[in-house]
Amino acid sequence: MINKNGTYKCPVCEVIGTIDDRTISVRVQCSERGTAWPTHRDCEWSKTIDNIDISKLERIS
Amino acid sequence: MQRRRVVPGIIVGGASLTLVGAIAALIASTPGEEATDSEKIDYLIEASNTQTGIISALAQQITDLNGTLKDIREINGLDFAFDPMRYITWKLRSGEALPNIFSYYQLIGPAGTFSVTYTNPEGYVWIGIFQSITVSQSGVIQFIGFVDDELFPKSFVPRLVSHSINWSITIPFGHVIKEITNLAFTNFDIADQWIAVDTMGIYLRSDVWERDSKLMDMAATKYTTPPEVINDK
Repeated sequence: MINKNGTYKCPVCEVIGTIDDRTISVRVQCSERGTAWPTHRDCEWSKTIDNIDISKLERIS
Repeated sequence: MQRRRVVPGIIVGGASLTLVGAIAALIASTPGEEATDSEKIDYLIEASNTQTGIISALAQQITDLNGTLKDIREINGLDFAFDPMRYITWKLRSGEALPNIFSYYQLIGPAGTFSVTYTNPEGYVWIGIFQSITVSQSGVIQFIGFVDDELFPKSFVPRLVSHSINWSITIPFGHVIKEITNLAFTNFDIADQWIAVDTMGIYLRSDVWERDSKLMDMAATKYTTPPEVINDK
């Protein structure tokens, strides 16, 4: 199994999240225009831990 | 100086009775044919003084009544502060608040946790109105919600089931997020499970909320003390 642990950013919505074993933690900055999650179709962060493709995310740390 | 508060019905009734009594006393003491000029003059002076006293008393009671009506008007006006729906309508109309209706669907893998942290737009608090959570299977998802810097979770449900909460009715202004909220869902099942969340609320300018909160506290302190009722007539 691929070790996915780390902090990543979605290149489309720029939402930053952290993967720690089987826990996904994302941080959403709400705006005055409203709140949306996920902000776009097929955002990797909206998938389950087993289905996230980290190659589609930008690694931060 | 503390303004006297009076019960309107009693004042009016009391004043009328006073007036009737005074007039009856005057009629009863009306000098007869045999009265001397001196007695008639004394009677006229007494009558004049009585009328002046009655008018003064009436003027005072009308002033008191006016104050009472002003209090009643202020108390009625507080509905716009203490009734969440009126308050929210007012703030949306004034442009100090923005509506926030938010829904999402999230899949959670087996033994997986999905944690999401929302940060309010800068300078806004979030006031919840309504929330609905639907789960794919009851009793297999744990939910923990933290708000701002509170040490203990605002909400902890070890085995989540579908539910809805109308905050504006059940807990008026009971769900106010100053800056950050964190929600964590853990799936204890061996298969994927999903949650669907719907929330309704408003983003209200922080300075407006702080100011209005203080005014609400001041008004509550002022009007939850029973007024001094003058009922001695």
